[in-house]
Amino acid sequence: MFSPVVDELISQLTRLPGVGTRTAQRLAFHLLRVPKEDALALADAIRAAKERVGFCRECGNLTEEEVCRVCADPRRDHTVVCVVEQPADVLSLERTHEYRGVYHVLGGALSPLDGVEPEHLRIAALLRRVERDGVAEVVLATNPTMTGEATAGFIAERLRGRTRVTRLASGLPVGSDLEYADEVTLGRALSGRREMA
Amino acid sequence: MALELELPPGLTAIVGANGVGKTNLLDAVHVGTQGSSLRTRREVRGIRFGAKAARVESEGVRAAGPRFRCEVTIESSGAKRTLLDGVPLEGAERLRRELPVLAFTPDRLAVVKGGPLVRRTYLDRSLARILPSRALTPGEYARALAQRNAALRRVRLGLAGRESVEPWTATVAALGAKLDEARIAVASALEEPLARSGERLGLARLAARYEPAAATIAELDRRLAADIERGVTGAGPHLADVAICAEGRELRLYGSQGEQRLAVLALLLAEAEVIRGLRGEPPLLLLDDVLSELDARRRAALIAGIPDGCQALVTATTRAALPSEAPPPALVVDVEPGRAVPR
Ligand SMILES: Nc1ncnc2c1ncn2[C@@H]1O[C@H](COP(=O)(O)OP(=O)(O)OP(=O)(O)O)[C@@H](O)[C@H]1O
Ligand SMILES: [Mg+2]
Ligand SMILES: [Zn+2]
Repeated sequence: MFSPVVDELISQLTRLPGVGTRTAQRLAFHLLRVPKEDALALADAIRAAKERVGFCRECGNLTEEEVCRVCADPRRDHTVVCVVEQPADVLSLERTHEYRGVYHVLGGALSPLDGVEPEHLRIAALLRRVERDGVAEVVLATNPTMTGEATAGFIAERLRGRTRVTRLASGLPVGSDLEYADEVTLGRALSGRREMA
Repeated sequence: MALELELPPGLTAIVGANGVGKTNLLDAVHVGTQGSSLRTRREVRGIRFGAKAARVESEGVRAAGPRFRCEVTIESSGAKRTLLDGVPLEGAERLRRELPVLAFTPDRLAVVKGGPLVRRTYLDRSLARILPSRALTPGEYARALAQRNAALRRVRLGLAGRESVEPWTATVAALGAKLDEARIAVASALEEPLARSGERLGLARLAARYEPAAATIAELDRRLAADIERGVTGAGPHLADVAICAEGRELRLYGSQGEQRLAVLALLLAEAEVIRGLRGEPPLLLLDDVLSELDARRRAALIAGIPDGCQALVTATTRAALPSEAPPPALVVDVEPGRAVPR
């Protein structure tokens, strides 16, 4: 429509998740308008990341080495594995400074509507890892969404009898008011209540 | 052009000849309190010909709490803005949970006459109003079902193995049981009020019976091959029906037109009573084209049967259609094209 190279840029941008044609056009025109260095800085960043960053052989997290920093750390407890959907979830859990085990990044959650089946996630690798490393506990920390719960259920079923399997509790956000909690969160918090006295 | 109306507690009669705008007025109240039209999904049709937008502002008291103020604006682009007490609401659906409103239009006859889908949808709407904490259950079940059906089709196409259906079988079974439980809770809450309102309108032993239909994991597993073949889940509450019966006979099959209409109205009155009881909040009732089709005794019974505390708007083509045996309306609004005059 504009010129072959611009069309190519737009069509590449459209392939990004969450980017439709309109957004892709806006982004393309923006890139063409900014100073050349700025646009090329983005291209360089993409190239550098793609060339240097890969997935950890053990856990599937992002890493520049063959094995990520968590997996390579001998002080971490390698018998406890926390299963998450995305690399970003690892960052969130690391920020708590509460967790001393290692991770396993699935790369998504089961969703046939989106064409995501068990073989598209790193589930088989998790099962192998549990056998091989004599893992004592698997903490399922997929999102508390329907697809996250289904994924957790699918994995739990496969680990039954092989190791201890726990699920991250879900409840009320800290500092929030009961009055403003939605029914689902409140219901979950109720069913996950714990003994206090 | 704007219209401002103050509606008293109790009954308001909206009176005028055919085509003057009675239904439009009722619909405006519905849009203003529920954020959706009674007439059409295409809400832009409610914008006055030639105008750019439509806005309905409503103010009122709720049983518990201070006055509320609600504002719904529909632009000709289709954009809709909803403010409750000045706070924007993401979806108009939220309003349905906040402000209980029950409406009758002749289309609602489909609840008795139509297929199971209409009755399930109606029951799930009642569920959202009567048990707001479970309002999301029908939608969650539908999403789980869509996932399982997608998995079934992908297996049939050879894109996935059978084990990929398994987590969705478990999810569908769990949410199906939850949905059944909620629907049964609604049906049983309605049971006695429905028998009473039916009796009042001349329908003996009126009942709405819901047969639980959730399939267990084992049952779903047993039909896995058939489900894969068809690409859809062949058992569960998405296929259930509600039998609406008087004297043990299904009104869909045996009821007269008038009886079917009375059954829909009895359901509405029963739900009004349940909502008033459970939420302490008498709902607003919008009744369009009910009086003309009923005999004098039942017209009076309907008006007398509006639960105490409910505000009700009823349309009629003439004042003479208002039943003389029932208490007179608190207000009569005479509708003329483009005008509504309270008297
Ligand atoms: N967007 C619109 N702007 C202006 N007028 C409209 C619009 N949509 C419909 N109308 C007109 O409004 C008129 C009144 O319709 P309405 O259905 O409210 O009448 P009514 O009083 O309920 O009549 P009836 O007794 O036959 O049910 C109709 O003649 C219709 O053509
Ligand atoms: Mg009308
Ligand atoms: Zn790692």
